[in-house]
Parts: sequence; structure tokens; C-alpha cells
Amino acid sequence: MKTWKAGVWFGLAFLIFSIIFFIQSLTLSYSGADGLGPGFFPLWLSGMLVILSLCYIYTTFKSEESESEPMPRGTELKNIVFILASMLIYLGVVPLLGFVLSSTIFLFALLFRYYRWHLNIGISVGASLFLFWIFAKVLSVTLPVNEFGW
Amino acid sequence: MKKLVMLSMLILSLILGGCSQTQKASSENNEGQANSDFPKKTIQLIVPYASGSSTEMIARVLAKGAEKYIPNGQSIVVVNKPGGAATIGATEVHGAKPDGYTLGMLTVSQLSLQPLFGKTVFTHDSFQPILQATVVPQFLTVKSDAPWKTFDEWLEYVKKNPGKFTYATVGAGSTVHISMEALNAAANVKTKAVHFESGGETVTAVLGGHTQGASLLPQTAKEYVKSGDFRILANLGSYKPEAHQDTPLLKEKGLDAEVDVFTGVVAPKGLPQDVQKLIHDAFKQALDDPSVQEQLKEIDVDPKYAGPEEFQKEITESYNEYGKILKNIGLVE
Amino acid sequence: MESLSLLLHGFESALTLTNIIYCVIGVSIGMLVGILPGLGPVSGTALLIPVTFGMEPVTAIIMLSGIYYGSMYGGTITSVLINTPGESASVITCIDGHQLAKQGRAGTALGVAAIGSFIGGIVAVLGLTFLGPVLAEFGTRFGPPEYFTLMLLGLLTLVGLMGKSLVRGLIAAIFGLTLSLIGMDPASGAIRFTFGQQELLGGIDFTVLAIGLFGISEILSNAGNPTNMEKPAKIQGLFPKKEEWLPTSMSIGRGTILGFLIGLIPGSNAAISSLMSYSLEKKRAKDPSRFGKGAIEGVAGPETANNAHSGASLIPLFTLGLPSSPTIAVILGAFIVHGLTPGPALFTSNPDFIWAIIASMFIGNVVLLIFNLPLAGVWAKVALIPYQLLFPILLLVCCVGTYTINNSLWDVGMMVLFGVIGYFMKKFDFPIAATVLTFVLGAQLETSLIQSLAISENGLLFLFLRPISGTLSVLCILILILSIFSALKKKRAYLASDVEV
Repeated sequence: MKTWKAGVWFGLAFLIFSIIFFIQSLTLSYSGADGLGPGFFPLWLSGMLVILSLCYIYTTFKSEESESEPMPRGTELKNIVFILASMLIYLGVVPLLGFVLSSTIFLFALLFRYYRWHLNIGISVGASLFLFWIFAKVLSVTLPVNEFGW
Repeated sequence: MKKLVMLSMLILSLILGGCSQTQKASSENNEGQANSDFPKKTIQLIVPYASGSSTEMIARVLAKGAEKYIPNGQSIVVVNKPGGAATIGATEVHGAKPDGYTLGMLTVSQLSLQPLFGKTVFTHDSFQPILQATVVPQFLTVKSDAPWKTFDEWLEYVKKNPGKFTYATVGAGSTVHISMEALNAAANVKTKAVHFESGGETVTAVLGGHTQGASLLPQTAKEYVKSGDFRILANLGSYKPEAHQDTPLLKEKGLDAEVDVFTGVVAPKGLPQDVQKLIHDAFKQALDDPSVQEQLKEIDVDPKYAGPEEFQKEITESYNEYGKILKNIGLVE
Repeated sequence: MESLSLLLHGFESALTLTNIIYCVIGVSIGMLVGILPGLGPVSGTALLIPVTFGMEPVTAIIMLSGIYYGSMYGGTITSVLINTPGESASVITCIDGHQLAKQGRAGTALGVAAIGSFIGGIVAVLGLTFLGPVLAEFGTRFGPPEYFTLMLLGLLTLVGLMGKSLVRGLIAAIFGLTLSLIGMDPASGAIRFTFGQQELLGGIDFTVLAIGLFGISEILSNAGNPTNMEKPAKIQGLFPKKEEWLPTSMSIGRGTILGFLIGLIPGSNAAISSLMSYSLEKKRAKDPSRFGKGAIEGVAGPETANNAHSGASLIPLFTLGLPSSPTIAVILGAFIVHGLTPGPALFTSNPDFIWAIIASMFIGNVVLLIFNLPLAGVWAKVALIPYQLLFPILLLVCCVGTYTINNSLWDVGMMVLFGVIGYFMKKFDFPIAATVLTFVLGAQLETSLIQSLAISENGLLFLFLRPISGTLSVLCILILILSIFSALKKKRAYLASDVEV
């Protein structure tokens, strides 16, 4: 009985998204020089999304059958939050530390639980350098780098 | 299991071995360090368009030409920063440190047009112009089976049939759009813009007879005129390129409208005088180089030099003029 | 037979050792670029243009086109193995391809995709050789009204594929359409839903959305569900089972025709070809419920269609000088760099050059096939890499790949956000492919409608007055009526057996 809530929350997220877009579309002009203005599609689409989200929330709310999978909990949640947090921290430090160093730290953190530290360092440094080589050297892509160019 | 990882890596490196050789040559340039002042490292020339664009080609030709005149053996690398309707690259130049290591190869679109929409952090006078490098006009082009043989016949038609003539553009507020609207205003006629997203789509529209005309760059127009598909009616710019002496300018038809697409090198504001002079001189010498001029002609753009003050004047004038046009057609308030 | 002798002449100039080596290099780099998320055919070719500066023009274009179809195939590999489409054409492949991989049949999926791609590619090149100019003329007849109706047909097909929960499917589809509106509106220059962010002016990049919704969300789901961490180790052969041969080759045949026809239309997206082919296969199948659970036809049809499409899209390029996709536009740029002005005269003014390239396409397709049949088995073994080792590296590669699109960390942040959204969409059974596909088609749907109205003198009636768009409109209406009818008639019994896109 508790599990229906998760679906409702997700429906609410869509509802909020569509309401924001709907309000924004009202500021765009509905008709243009040849009939349709830049506001026509946004208004109708976000309007439809509002109605559909309401439908979805209603059916989820009403339905007796529980969702196949409830919201993440416990270790599941911890794993996901850990991955997301590592990515966000990675994004934050990459302009400062440069690609190779931050990637090594990133990989090291994610592999920490599965491998012994020396093996882990080996993999992290190796993989980061390999990717740097492929992207920056072979494909000449610009990567965020530190003062020393890596 | 590890063997497999190793194996696949080995295969990858074997595959890549063949092409990595070509790369080495270009990365070596970054290493030569010298003691003397500017420049101590590689200079970046940012292009706000994707690779393969004509602006990028202009930038590559000029960067290669100017490199010879940059002291300390430093190089100029062209960096593509496309996205955000070509404003991302310009924003990056605007926000860069004014130390001469970040320059932009920008066009009239970023310098004079985009700021009019009021959504960019920069405006027409927020850059330090270094020099104007190239210019190119646009042509009013129709399909060769169209009933109008000359510009005068066309003008007569649109005068009698306001709002009937449709033309393809590469987007609302693009230089293509502006050039036709300038003509509309000067001749006091009404034509209808149909907005597409790329030059290729506009050509398709005319070829397939979906729109009656388009305003095209010489490079595009030339090919289809050669093949007998298109006919050029008028030159919407301010001058005649060498290969198009016979196409009348609007000026010659007594109409006061001219829109050119210009490209130039700019830096963030606050660039030290000496650095500015050094960069300007390097690019100026490149622009005077006959082989550079030849390469520019090959991609159908004309070299046109203007110094910092003159370039800024041109940017500001275009900004004001296009602002009026955009206001008239209700695209900006 | 004039074209045949010209083609043979083309083979003569293309079959030099240097050219073959660069063709192989191009195809290999292409595959690598296709496998690395974020780097699709567009950035792959764009990145390597500078490398070709010193080469002979023919060699350069041979290598670049090699990158083009190599990366198309590379995108399939990631769709199958890690459920992340490399480019929009392989979104559909994820649905059944990844399911096959989960059953240990990644090799089969990749093998069939390689064969299908080869056939689709070769037929397209043959079409280019013998019928090029005639077909190109047909392509230009597609103006805005025709595009609009074609897009509409695509979207209706998509809705037709949604069975179990129409509400969820529609939410996902309209969500995708709404996302495609973000950025500067090409029709009016108005700026929509950017919330003051400069980075959103050009809209959300397809790759950012696809990697986030598919790739990152997959990693998050697996992290949340530790049992998924252990991948099935049993790997089956490269080739389909005996009873699958016939339906598979039929799918390949249908996919070839469909992809080829749609590919002729300048500017049409390969995603439309693969979507329609998937829908066609599902409609033709005896037991449609297998789709979405690892039906080999669901890989064979769309993969063939998208390769036939990309081959056919070279026809408008060579005969009319019209770039029909962003990648082709980049290759066009390379033409200019190498001193060839693309345009309708290209065929007549540089016949040697064009025929050499066409010949090299035959060679490239053969190289791709020779490479991929054995490699498909090797790729399939990627599934054997312990997941705890694979996923951090995948995350990193996704980040780098996304960063390289615009050299911006903003995109990487967006990718993470879409990863989270995709994670919840998966949890609650929303079809992700619907969001990504409507996102691809959405922008064109809107602009083509506005363009149609600008050209039209009698409003929407115009759509019915032109032969092609009229036919397509009638088809759209028929599909709509039929699906409402069948929904009423068969109701849940029929729908429950349907699978989600």
C-alpha cells in the first residue's frame, strides 16, 4: 500500500515541469506572421503534458496494484547517491586539477570497494591516461586541463 | 578476464597506431618555450561555428598566415566552440582574460546582430576589435525557370503582388533575412520570409520550387548558376566581387540598401596596447600575403582590411542599422 | 552502361594501396568514435578534417566517408552492449539489441546488424551509381508540407508502438517534444525556455539527452540493483538460429527499401527510417509480443534501414550538392577544403573524383563487414568484463564524450540530470526511446509546419493539395482511425500483449 506514493511523486515532478513550461509559453506570442507564432507549439504541448500528468497521478493514485519497484532505499539509495555525488564533485574539480588527476581520483573512489588499493591505483591511473591519450592525442579533442597541460 | 581487456586495448592501439603519427607533428609546436615576452604560449583563435564552416576555413587560412609573424615561434590554434546559436564561442571570448592568448574569429552575426536580441552577455561594443579580415555580399537568387529575367522585372512583380514572393532564409534575424528585409524597406515592397536552418535547406527549397527565391552567398549561388539551375537577380551587398561584375548592386538600381557579411579578429576588452599591436600586425601581414588572399578567394570570400577603430565603426553602424530593420519587422522591441 | 565503365574506372583510382589503407584507418577510427559516447559521426568527421589537410583529395574523402559509416556502425555496438545509442538512428536498436545482449546474444545482434548494414549500404551505393540523378529529382519534391506529414507519420507510428500504458507513452513522447522546443526558435528568432542560460540558446544536444537518459540511467539502475551487476556469461554464436534466418533476411530486405527511399529526401533524419522499419517489422511479425524482448528482426530491419538511408543520402549530395545530414554537411566542408566546390555540377566537373569515392564506398562497406563479423564476437565479450570495473570507466567515458560535444561542462551537468530523470522513467516504466525519438523529430515537426503555412496561401488545406503530402496526410488519418478502431474493438486483450517502445 505504501508503494503507490513513489509514482505519484514522479507524476508530480512532470506536472510541475509542465506547469512551468505552460506559464512560460504564455509569454511567447501565440500567433505569428503566417499563422503560428513561437508560442503555439509550447502552449499546446505543455498543456497536454499538464493533463496527461494529472491523468497519470490519478491512475497511479487509484490503482491497487503496487509498482513493480518502489523508490530506492538503503544500500540501493546509497549506491546511487554515491555515484551522483562523485560525478558532481568530479565536475567541480576537473577545471582545477585537470583531466588526468581528477579522473584518477574519480575512478579510484568508485572502484574503492571492489579492488585492493594498489590494483585500484593501477587501474585508475592507467584508464585515465589511456582515455587522455585517445581523446587528447589521437582525436585532438580539447579536454579540461590543469596548468601543466594534462 | 583481464586478458580480454588487454586484448581489446591492444587491438585498439594497433588500429590507432596508423593515424597517431600524423598527430605528433601538430602537438610538437606547443613545446617550444622562449624567455622573451608575449607570446609565451600558444594563442587560441576561437571560432563560434563547427568544423567545416566557412568561418572556420577563414580562421585556419589566416591563423596559418599570421603564425609566421608571431615572435618566439609560437603558434595560433583554431578552436571550434559551436553551440548556442553561435553565441557560446563569442561569450567565451568575451569572458576570457585579456592577455592576448584568447582571440575570436567572429562575424557580423555575433558582433552586430545577436546583441540586438538582448539575450547575450556581450553587445556590439564589448570586444576589443583587432582587425576586419574578410567580407562577402549576398545575392538575390531565383530558379532559372522563374518568370523574372532581371531585377527590374522582379521588382515590378513584387510591387504589384505584395506578400506573394517567398524566399528562404537560414533563420529569423540571420544576415540572409536582414539583407532581404533591407531591400524590402528600401524598395517599399513586401516579400515573405520562410525560415530554414541551414544553407543547404534553403537551396533545396528553391530547387524543389517550395520557395521562389533565396538570398545566397556567392560560393553557393555560383555553383547553381553554373549548372543552369539558378539565376542571380541582384547583389544585396555593398561591392561587386571579381567574378560577379555583371550582377547589379541595389545602389545602382537607386535603392539604398546594402548588407555585407564581414568577419574579423577580436579580443576581450582591456588588451594591452603593445599586445594588440603585435597581433594586429601579424594578421595584417597575413592578410597582405598574396597566397593568403588566393586561398580566401578560393573559398569565395574577399579579403578586406580595416583597423581597430574602423572595424568598431563598421560593427556599430551595422548594429544600429540592423536594429532599425529588426524593429520594423517586429522581431525586436 | 556508361556508369558501369565510369565505376570501374573509379575502382582503378580507389584501389591503390594508400587509399585502401586510409579507408581501413577511416573505418577503424569511425568505429572507435562511434563507440565512444558523445563522439558521433558528426564530431568524428569534423575532428579529423584537419588531419586530412596534407592528403590527396580522393584519399581524404575516402578516409572521411570511412569514418562516417564506421561510426554509424560503432553506434550500434554501444546500443547493443550498454544500451546507449551513439546517434539518433540507433535509438531503436537499443530496444531489442540490448535485450539480445542480456540473453547472451550480443554477437548475433551485432552480426546481423553488420550483414544488414552491408546489404543496405551496398544497395544504396548501387542506386547512387545507376539511378542517382533521377532519384535526386524525386528527393527535392519534398518541401516543408511533405516533411511535416512525414514527421507526423513517424510520430503516429511511434504512438502505434505503445501498448501497455498509453498515458505513460504519451507523457514520454510529449516530454521529448517539449524538450526539443528549448533554445532559439529558428522560425521567429524567439528564445524559449532557456531560463537565462546562454548554454541553452542552441537547445539541448541530442547526444547529451541520449547518453543521459539511456547510458547514465542504465548505470544508476544497475547500481541500485546489485543483482544486475552480474552479467550473464553465456555467449551464443554470431549467426541467428535456423528458424530466424528467413524472417531476418525479409527484415533486411524491407529495411533496405524503406531506408533507401527515405534517405533520398534531403534533410530527412535516419531516425525516421529506423523507427518506421521497426514499426513495420512489428506489424509484419507473426508474434509481435516478442518485440522488446529480443526480437532479431527488431535489430535487422532498423539497422539495415539506417545504413541504406545514410547511403542514399549521399545521392542528393553528389547530384545536387545538397547536404542531407549534419555529417554530410561536414564532409561537404571537407570537399571545399580540398578545393572541390560541391554543387550540382560536381558530378560533371569532377567525374573521376566522384566515381573514385563511390568505388571506395563499396570497398568501405566490404572492409566494414570483414572487420565486424569477427569483431562482433570480440565485442560481445565486453559483457564479460566485471561490471564493477566497467561501470566507473563507462561513467568517465560518458562524461568525456559529452564534454567534447561543445567543450562545455554544462553539457556534462545536463547529462547527469537526464541520467536521474531516465532512472526514474525506467523505474516507473516510461518508454525512454519515445522521449528521445520525439526529441529528434520534434524540432523539424514544428518548423516544417510553420514553413508550410508561410508558403501556403490557403492554410492547412494546402497539405492535402500537394500529391506527396496529400498521400501522407491521408495515410496519417487512416492510421489514426485504424488504431482508435482496433483499440476499441480489441481493448486490453490486444494491448496487453503489446510491448512498450
